[in-house]
Amino acid sequence: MANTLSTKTLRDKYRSSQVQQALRNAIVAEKVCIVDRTELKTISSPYITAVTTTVQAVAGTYSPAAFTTTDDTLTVTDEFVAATHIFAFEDMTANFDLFYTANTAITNSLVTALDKYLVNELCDQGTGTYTTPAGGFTTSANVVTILSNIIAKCSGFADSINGFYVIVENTDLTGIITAQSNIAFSYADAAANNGFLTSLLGVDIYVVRSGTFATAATTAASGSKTWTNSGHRVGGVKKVATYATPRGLKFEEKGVTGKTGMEVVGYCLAGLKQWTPTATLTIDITLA
Amino acid sequence: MSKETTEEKVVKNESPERTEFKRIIESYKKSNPAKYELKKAALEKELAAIK
Repeated sequence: MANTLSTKTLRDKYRSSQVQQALRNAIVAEKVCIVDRTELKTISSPYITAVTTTVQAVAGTYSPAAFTTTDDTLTVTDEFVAATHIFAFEDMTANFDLFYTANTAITNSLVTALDKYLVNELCDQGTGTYTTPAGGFTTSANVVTILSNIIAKCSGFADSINGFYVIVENTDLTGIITAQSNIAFSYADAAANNGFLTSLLGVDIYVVRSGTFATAATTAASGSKTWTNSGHRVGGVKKVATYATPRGLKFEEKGVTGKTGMEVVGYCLAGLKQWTPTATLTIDITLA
Repeated sequence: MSKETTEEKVVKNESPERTEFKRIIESYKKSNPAKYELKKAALEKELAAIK
């Protein structure tokens, strides 16, 4: 069998101390959600009916309303697995620590898949809605309008103190950067001198790669979930949704029969819940 | 040709993309009915655009 790493391992001078890997995607879900890494399969968050205060002329009387609670539950339903096998000859003839590289690559693959899953779940579970003007984020004249609508839909609630965010795809940046350069002196100056600003009008902008917002049903990307998020983006208030990865990422190395070397597998479990009382603070943005 | 056979033929001639999108819509109806109602018109428009 050919050495799939390289046939010139011992003759080449390598530029880096590690095997080069594919471009890595940015991870954003952790920035906008509460993260739970405890070992629980379900996380409950009971919520109560809204309590109304009556203001009245002094009378000394009142009418009580029943105080009821409803259970809301985050259930971990999906598993993420990235597995590979490192043959002994790959490891023996390499100038690099292939197991370290495999662990890094597996971690990267897992968190990228996890992030895509979480971003789509967040978009799907949010009940706030907003349709952009025609052209979406790629039309620079729309950007301020879109951001101000996100702010307007979420402002006035105490949760807004967590800060606002919007998650866009990299292809949306053509309009956003142009808007930043044109919006006002200080923004334009900062954009011109420092490049892309990660915040505009107080809304933090997170960028994921094109294709992250997906339409899929029970695929290798969506697990047990169904999404119709192609052409959508998500924004709103941070930290109003929770995602759980019980005990984080796990790794196993095992020798298997009939093969030299070791099988390396990384895996984790995950689930996301946009809690009902704050669901309107997560806005499913439809690009027109 | 009976009606049933005609419908069967139409389904058979459907592109894989259209079949897959219909499957997604059916799945979405069950998984998130409230959101499906909100997105129904847009999803049908998208389906119509797939040959």
